[in-house]
Amino acid sequence: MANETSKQAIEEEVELEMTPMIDVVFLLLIFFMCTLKMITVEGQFSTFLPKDQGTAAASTPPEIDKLKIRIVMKGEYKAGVRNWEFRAPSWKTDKTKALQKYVITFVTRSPKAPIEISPGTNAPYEAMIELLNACVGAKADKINFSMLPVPSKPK
Amino acid sequence: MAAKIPDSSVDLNMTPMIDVVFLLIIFFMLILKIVSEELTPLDLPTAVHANPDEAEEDRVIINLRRDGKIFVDGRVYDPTKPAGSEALKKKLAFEAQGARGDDGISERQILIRADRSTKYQHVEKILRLMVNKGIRMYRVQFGAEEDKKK
Repeated sequence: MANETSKQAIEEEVELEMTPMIDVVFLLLIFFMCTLKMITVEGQFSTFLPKDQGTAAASTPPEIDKLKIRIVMKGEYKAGVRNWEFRAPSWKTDKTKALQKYVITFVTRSPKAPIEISPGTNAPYEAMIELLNACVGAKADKINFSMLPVPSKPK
Repeated sequence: MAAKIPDSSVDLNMTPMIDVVFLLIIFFMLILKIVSEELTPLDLPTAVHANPDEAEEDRVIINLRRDGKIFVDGRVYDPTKPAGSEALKKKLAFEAQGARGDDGISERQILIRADRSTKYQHVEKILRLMVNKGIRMYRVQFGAEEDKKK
């Protein structure tokens, strides 16, 4: 008799209550799905820094046809080969487009000539990207960044 | 005579569903960590002509916030303070070590992602560090958001 009852106890299935666990797991899943920010497609502009750290040239290099563009502030540009021939007109709302037109004219005239960008220290990153975008859009061949030399420390 | 409802209950096998749900949770947890460490949420400028971002495996991502603070691999560097600048210099020197070419210049790529209103002086600080003697890196990418109007 005692043997039979113990057999019955073994045969009885132990049922785990799964419902609360499934509830919690679903809640976790919904939380992660809601908090996950979809990654926006990002782009980039590839550039190269100078490899050489040359010394100051003894003689002045031959003057080449180089377009210099200075970013003063967002949407405020000065550009020119020798003088600041181009200034974004104040009455134009889209100054970057006006600059891009100027860059396109320059590139079609001298396609191999480099473009030197010199952003002002307070110019925002956005303005730099806008300008890079305009130059790449105009199919400029060489784009350089100019940096002022760091003043040497007094000994 | 009313029809009898059968007593036996239909058992649904929950095991495969629970397996899948757990896998989904693990996936979301891992993705969340990777995204937060490498790419700091920033308001990137948009650009129509930006190239699609095809990252190299060992690329170093520098996230630059508008206040000038730099995030690399989840660590914060403040280059406005000498200690922060020195720490960043060490980090870049360490990253540059692995991929030096015959000329001693590192081939490792660097992506600079900056907030749209970050001042250029902060970007320039990084560029200056990169051409520094102990670092010598030259492959730079500037991050932007691809314009959807493209």
